[in-house]
Amino acid sequence: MKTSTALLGCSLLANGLLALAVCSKLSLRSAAPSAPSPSIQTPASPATAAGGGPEIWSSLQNPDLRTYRAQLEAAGFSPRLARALAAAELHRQFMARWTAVARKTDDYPFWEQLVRDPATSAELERISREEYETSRELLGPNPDGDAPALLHAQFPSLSEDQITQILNISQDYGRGRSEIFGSLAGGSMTTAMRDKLLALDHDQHAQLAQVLTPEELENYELRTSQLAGELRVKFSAFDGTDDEFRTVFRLQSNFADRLAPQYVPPTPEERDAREAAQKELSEQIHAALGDERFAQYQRSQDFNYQQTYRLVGRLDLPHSAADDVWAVQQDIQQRFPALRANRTLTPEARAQQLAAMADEAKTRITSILGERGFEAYKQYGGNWMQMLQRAPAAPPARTAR
Amino acid sequence: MKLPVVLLSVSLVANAALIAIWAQPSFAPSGLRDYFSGVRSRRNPGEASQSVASAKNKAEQPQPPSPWSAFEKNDLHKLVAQLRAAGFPSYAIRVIVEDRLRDSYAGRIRQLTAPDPNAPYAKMGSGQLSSDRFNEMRRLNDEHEQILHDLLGVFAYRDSGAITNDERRSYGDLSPGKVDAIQRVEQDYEEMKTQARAGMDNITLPEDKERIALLEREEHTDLAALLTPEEMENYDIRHSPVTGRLRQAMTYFHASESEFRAIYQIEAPLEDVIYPSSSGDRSVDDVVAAQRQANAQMSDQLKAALGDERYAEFTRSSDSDYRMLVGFERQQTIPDGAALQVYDLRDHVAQESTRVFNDSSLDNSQKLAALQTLAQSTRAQMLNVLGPAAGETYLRQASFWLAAVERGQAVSFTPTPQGTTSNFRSLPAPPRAGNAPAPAAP
Repeated sequence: MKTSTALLGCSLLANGLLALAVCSKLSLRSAAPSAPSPSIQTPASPATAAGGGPEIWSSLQNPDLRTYRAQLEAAGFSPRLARALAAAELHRQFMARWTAVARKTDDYPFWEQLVRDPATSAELERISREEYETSRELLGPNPDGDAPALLHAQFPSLSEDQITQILNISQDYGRGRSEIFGSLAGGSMTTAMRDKLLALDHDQHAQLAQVLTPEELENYELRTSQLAGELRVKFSAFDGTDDEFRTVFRLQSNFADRLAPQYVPPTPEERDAREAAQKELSEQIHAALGDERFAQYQRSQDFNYQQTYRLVGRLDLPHSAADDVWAVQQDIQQRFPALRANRTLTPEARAQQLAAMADEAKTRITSILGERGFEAYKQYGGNWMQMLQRAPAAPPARTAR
Repeated sequence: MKLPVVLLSVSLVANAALIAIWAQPSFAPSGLRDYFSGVRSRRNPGEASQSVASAKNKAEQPQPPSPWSAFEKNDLHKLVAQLRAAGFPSYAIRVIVEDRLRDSYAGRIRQLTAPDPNAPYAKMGSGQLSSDRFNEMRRLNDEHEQILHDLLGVFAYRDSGAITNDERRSYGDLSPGKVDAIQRVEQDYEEMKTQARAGMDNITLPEDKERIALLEREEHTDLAALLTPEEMENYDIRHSPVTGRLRQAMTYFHASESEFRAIYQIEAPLEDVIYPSSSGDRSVDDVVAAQRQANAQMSDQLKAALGDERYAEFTRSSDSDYRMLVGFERQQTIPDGAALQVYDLRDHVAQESTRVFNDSSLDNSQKLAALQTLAQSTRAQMLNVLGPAAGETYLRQASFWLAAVERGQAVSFTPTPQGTTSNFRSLPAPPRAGNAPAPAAP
């Protein structure tokens, strides 16, 4: 008991002495001015001093693109600029490889076309694909690129993620098509290549269907698909509404397989099957548009009518003028076979009557289009009138080109 | 009794803590440190405010500048000079300059040319801008180009100081500066021609032709101001529509430069007759007659210039059947030499069908049978040489003349510089009962 009490006494004494010592130290410490904390100073930057020295560029370089990009951002470059510089460096590296391979087929004279053998084309395609995949992996999508901006402008309701996926799908399948066309080596497409291209079209559509709702997909294809582009040509002289366009597009889409793009000349069987499909589609469009509008739609498919329609637009005439000219053409074309087949006429009499028919066509059409318009019409929509000028002759020899 | 032991333990722990704080004052609780600071400031007010100020200064001390901040970004000339001094390569400088210009130019051009999301489906994509938008776009493009060239010179669009092989083919061996100047003129006029054409809606009226022709004359004048007469002549031949049309045949013919120039000199004066853009006031028959005469003249001149053997090779290179077959060789889907082997089968069919047709010892039914056999055996030979994939594709192309032979027609082929002309002669139709047999068709 005495020992523990003695020890306690000593310890308490030590407490007191140590407390005094600590207070004294803390008091002295707060009186002294703060020692300056070492400031983080970069060494005198040569750029600041004299516009930069070569070590700045070399200090930013890094073989790892992610690190390179991060170093650029750490050095104060904006994220957009850092990405652009990293992308440019990536492209430069791949271009060096691409150029080395392309050089094998790059030495041709100006009076020839480029022809690449399939092996070289395939190697170049591999390099391009590798660049594209590396860029996607290391740099990610480019939110400031032209392609996303254009899609945003066209489809403002789509999200950024959807835009990115659409672009990725387009680029992936575009690459697939490039590989097939690259293997042509200036030659012709085989049915096997054609089947691959058609499969790509089909798969791309399926991929887009996973990214977009049915409504979004239709709107996207109504504005960007090849089918929609072809339909716009057909509608150019039809003056159709958006609803009519959508209706015909939907019907035509149902025939996508039976009326697929023709990459190779068709066999007779394929030609027959195509004609049957076209007939079936026409009947469905007829049912959807009604008699009057379908008649106008059929007329608008005629190349001569399309040209006449555009011509009257250029002449600042109402579109009804194209219908009037068309009516003249139909009238004379209906009368022409009978005149030509009339065996009771002498050749001179037939020629005279043909000339009279030609004069009638000229007079009637000039009254609609004017003289200047008629002259242009001879080239745009009026080539049917040549049958009224030519004497019957043997069919011309066929030139294979 | 236990209490002293507990108190002793607590005291010993306190001693340890006090020793630690004495050795490292920062271990002291902040409240204790603040207390002593407050004691000091109550005794010395001036010292306290200095202490607070120094702490505040420390917090507000400006961050050291980043390397990029040292570059003069608002003065592009200074920026480029600084970047070069800092060792930045041309392509990186170009990227940085383009980034600085982006919002002023690329961004604004994009707004001007942005598609209208509400455009009717049938009317979108006409390609024509309103004249205000077009003029603004051209102004922005011109400014942007001028700035890049002022800043970067020949490195505005190239990494090395040399022209590419494509540029050499287009312009000849010119300096990079001259090539850049030519390309700026071309781009400028191409924009104007594209805008003019977009407004034409694929209908070219006489005034449109004159407008395009005027633009092309002005473009030629501007280019001639940049080039020597020899360089201009060189440019004209490389960009001529005649050369454009000849390129495909040349790729199969492999002409030397002197052969190509000889062919060009013969074909160029006859271009407008053989490939007229319009018939004008002439009848179709007149146009065709003029073409026939020009073709005959061209053939004679080419034969004289190239010699018989090379002329035959030139006309063959214009034949679509031959090109398809050579294409298969290039695709490596048929063995080397197979193209010529199959191509020569066509001449054999022509000779044999003509022989059968003219054989007076055969009646028409025998001739028909012989021609059918000829067509079928030719088809089989072609498939045998070409294989199933290439063979099937080639037979789709060749079917029109093989099918004609199979129907009882004799075929002949006339090679021309524009391609091969096919001619067919039909066996007469079998006579009707009671009628005399019809004479053979000529």
